[in-house]
Amino acid sequence: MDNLPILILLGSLGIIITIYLWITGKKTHKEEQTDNGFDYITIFKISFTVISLIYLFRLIMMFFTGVLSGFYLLSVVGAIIAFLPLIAMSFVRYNKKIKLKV
Amino acid sequence: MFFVELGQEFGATSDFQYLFIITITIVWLSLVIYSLKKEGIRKTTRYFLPMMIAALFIEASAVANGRFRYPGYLIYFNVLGGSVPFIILIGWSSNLYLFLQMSKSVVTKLYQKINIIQLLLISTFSGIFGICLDLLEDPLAHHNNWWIWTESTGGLTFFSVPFSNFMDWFIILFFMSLATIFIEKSGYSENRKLILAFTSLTLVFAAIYLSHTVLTEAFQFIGVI
Repeated sequence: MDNLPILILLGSLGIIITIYLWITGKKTHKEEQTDNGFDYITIFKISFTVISLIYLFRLIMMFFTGVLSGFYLLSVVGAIIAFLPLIAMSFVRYNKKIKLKV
Repeated sequence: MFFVELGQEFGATSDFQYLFIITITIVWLSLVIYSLKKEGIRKTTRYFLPMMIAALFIEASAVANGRFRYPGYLIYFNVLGGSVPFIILIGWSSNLYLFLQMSKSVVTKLYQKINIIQLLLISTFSGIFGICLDLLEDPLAHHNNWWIWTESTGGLTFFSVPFSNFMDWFIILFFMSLATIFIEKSGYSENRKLILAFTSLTLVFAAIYLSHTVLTEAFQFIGVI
C-alpha cells in the first residue's frame, strides 16, 4: 500500500473540511416543495414519466441482451424482478387513495 | 497514484459488450440532460460527479483485491492498483440518480414529512431498487464477460454472481443516496453544498467499508457468504 499515507492525508482533510463546512454553514433557505416556477404536482408528473421511460429503456435493453445471448431463464426471472420498482412507482402514482399534500 | 490507460482488446471478450456500452451511454446522457434542464449545473454536478469518484475508488479497490476484473474496454482509470473502465463510472452515476429519483417518487407519496425517517426511507428504497435491476444485469454481465467474478464463492450465488455483490450494491446506493439527500436538504447555499458533496465522500467511504466489513462477517457467520 504505497498510497496509504496520501489516502490518510486526503481522508483526514476531507473529514476536517466537511465538519468545518457543516458547523459554520448558515441555512440560506428552507426546503420547499416547489422549484423552477412549477408546482410540485407538475414536477412529480414530469419526473415520473421521464425517469420511468429511461429505466424502462435500460430494462428492455438488458432483457433483449439476455435473450440474444441465450440466457433465457435469467432474462425472464431478472426482468420480472427488475420491473418491480416500476410497479411501485405506478402504484403510488395512480393510487387515488394516496394523496400528495402540497 | 492516478492515471488513464487505453485498453488494447476493446470488444474482444464479448459479442454483446457494445450493447451494454450503448445502453449505459444513452441512459447517462438522457439523465444528465434531464437533470441539467430540471436542476441546473451545480445540482447536476452534485448528483453525478461525487458518485463517479466514489465508484472509481470502490471498484478499483475491489479489482486490486482480485474480486473481479473488467476485460475488453477502451478507457480505464487506474487508482490503488486497480483499473476501472470509464463506462462503469458513468454507469454508477446514472444508477445513483435513477434510483434516487425513483425512490423519491415512491417515498414522497407514502411519507410526506421531510425528516430523517423520510431520508432513511428514500435511501433504503434506492438500495432495494438498485438490487432489483442488478439481479438482471450482474449475471448477464458475468455470462457475457462484461466483467468477470474471480473471487471464490463458497456461499449463496445467483446465476454464479456472489451474494456479497448484491449486499455491496445496497450498501453503496444506500450511503450515497443518504449523503446526497442529506446535503440537498441541509438548507445551505448551493456552493457550500457542492463542496460538501465532495469532501463528505471520505465519511461515506468510511461508512461503506465499515458496513461491508460488518455485514460480510455477519453473513459469513451464518454461512450465506
